[in-house]
Amino acid sequence: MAAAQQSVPQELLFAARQFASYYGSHPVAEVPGFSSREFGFMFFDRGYVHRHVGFNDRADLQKYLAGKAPSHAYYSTAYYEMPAAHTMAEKGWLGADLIFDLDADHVKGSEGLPYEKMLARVKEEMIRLYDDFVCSDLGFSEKETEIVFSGGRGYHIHVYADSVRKLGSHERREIVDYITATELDLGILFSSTVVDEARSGRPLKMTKLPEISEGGWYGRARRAMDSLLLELQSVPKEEALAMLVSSGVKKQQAARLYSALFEEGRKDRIQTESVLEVLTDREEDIRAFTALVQKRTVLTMAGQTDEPVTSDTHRLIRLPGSLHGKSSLKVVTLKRDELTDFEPLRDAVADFPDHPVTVYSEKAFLSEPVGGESVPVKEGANEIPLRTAIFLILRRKVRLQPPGGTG
Amino acid sequence: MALFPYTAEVRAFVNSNSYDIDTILTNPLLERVREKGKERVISSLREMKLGEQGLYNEEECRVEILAYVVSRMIASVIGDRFLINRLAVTEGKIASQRLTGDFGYMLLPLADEFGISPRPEGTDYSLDFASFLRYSSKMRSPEWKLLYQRVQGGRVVVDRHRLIRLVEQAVTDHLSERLPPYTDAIKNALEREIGEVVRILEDIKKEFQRDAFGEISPEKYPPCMREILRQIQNSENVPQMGRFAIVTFLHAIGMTAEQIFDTFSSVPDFRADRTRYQIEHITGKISSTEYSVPECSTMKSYGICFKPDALCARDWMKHPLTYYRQKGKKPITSSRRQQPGKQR
Repeated sequence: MAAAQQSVPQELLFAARQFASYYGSHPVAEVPGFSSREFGFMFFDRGYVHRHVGFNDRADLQKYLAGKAPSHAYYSTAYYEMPAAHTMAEKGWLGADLIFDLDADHVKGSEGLPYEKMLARVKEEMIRLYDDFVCSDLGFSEKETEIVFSGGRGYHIHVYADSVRKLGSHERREIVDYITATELDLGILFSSTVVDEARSGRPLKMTKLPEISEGGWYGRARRAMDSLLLELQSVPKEEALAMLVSSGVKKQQAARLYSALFEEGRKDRIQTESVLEVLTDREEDIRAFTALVQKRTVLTMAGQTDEPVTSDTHRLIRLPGSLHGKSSLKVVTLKRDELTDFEPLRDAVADFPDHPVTVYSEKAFLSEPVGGESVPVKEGANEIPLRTAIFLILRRKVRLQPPGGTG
Repeated sequence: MALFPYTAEVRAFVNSNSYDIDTILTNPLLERVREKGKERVISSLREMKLGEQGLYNEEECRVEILAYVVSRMIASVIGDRFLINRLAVTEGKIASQRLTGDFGYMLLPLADEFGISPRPEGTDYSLDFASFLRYSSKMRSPEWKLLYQRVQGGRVVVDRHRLIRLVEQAVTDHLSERLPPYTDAIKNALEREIGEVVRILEDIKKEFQRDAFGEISPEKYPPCMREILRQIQNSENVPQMGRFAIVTFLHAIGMTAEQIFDTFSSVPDFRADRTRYQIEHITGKISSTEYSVPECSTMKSYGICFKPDALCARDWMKHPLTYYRQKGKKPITSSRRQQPGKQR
């Protein structure tokens, strides 16, 4: 024990002390179904999750947090008969909240951005996920849901509705496939009927396009098609052709499609009659056009969410109101209208005492604007506010000892 | 009530009439009930039917309900998954036939019973997406994926045919998941009936292993499946429904997942991981659900009914597997000579 303690860096012991005193006076958020939840923790001096912890009430949990100062605190999205039991069979699964997770690691276009920009990009995607999918399509109300900033690099949505509690992994994966349009096949959305031409003996296909107002991906695919047509029409022919070719249409096909759509006026006919075959009787061109719309639909309308988090019905997730051990930021619960203007480095900064700390840096840099202000850090010793110091310490940018010092 | 004997109403009826387990098991006056209960099991094993059902008067109905209770006890004591699933699937199929036929008025009450609570919307119905998922997730055909539903405000719209299919699945799930408890009393009292069912069960399992379709013979494939295979082997872009159809078809005629995989792997730009996942998804999962090959009408509406020939044009030709069975046989003269086990 003593040996293990010695190997813990000064910085982490310092952070643990700050976390402990924070938890002494800041209660974590309420968790619905508290006594049916499993809790799990990580500590500054250990590399694994200490799971299978149960609490009778929030006061017990608070005492635990203040006493042990975990670096990360989690609770189960599942409800159990015996949350502290060590095997799933003994725990007795009763159901689980539906969770969506968006993390900078998975959000397209957030790679390599600085912390603030990266979080802004994730937030943008989060708003779409919440508005278009969770509320509009899946129909959950603000009362049944919570948006949570994770304290790190992303956001979660918790859905507490009874209707979803019993859904298994497979069903939850279906929801993810829906949101992300995984393997979307327009051949299924655009239902075609085969009209048997008695005289020609050749079966004729008639493909009915969905209307804008239709639910789910039907309406989306139609909107994507309409916007594609509009875009192609609004640019000069050469540019439109180049666009088609760059989306994978063969050169000659692109020329045929373009002239059918915009020179023979078939664009308007497709849109008013909502039948795909008015475009051309060349089947390969129809296929190419459908593939184009399919690509466009997915590219412009698919949502993003991290699949394993949603489909895992035994997952541990960050406890709202707790602190994130790699940033010191608070895990914050948000209402939808608070999300729009939410700035993690302003709004999720924990309320640490307001006193300066001396830290050492190996090089000069400008800190992230923790609490709204960036602090210039120079090489060597610096006196900076505690909240900035903890943030930089946990992100391993500064130390409490001069370089070469022990600790 | 006797037609759909798994409702809360029936449970209340059985309890209120003081048919305790002991009476059902031993009362000499209920010998006929036990006999019918056994028949119910055997007939669902053999031909996925429920045996003779009179149901002309109250007494008949009472017997039928109690026979259902006995059939569940027998299944519970034997505890064989195949048997339990088969019984559950049969009850589901029968429910579906009745709902499609004369007892359509029971659709909404029965749906409510299983927590589906559909709301009529014109000729269609809307239901909560989570209740939809609970049962649709057992069906692997892409058209059942949530992705292809009109999801709006938390609700999914289905037509009557699909709602019946969901209720069928609900019946099947309910019956395969919940069984009366095993007791020695049941085992002893129904010893003779159980013995008979077990013997038949063993025979049927053996028969199944022998493979209903015999050797796989590509020359009997219907033209649609040949065409889909040809497209796959030429690396043409086969729509999702086409891939689903060919995998279920090859699986149904007795190919293993590995053999199906091999059939596809000769393709130049073959994507092993994705294909393997899809094949295993469709064939691999052992559950109470049977993945069926899409029928001809479904193939047509997805535009994958390719090059129909003279055999396809026959009135009774409604399913690619029927084609496979019939091809190479003497033409059937009477439409009554159908293979057992498959709906016409």
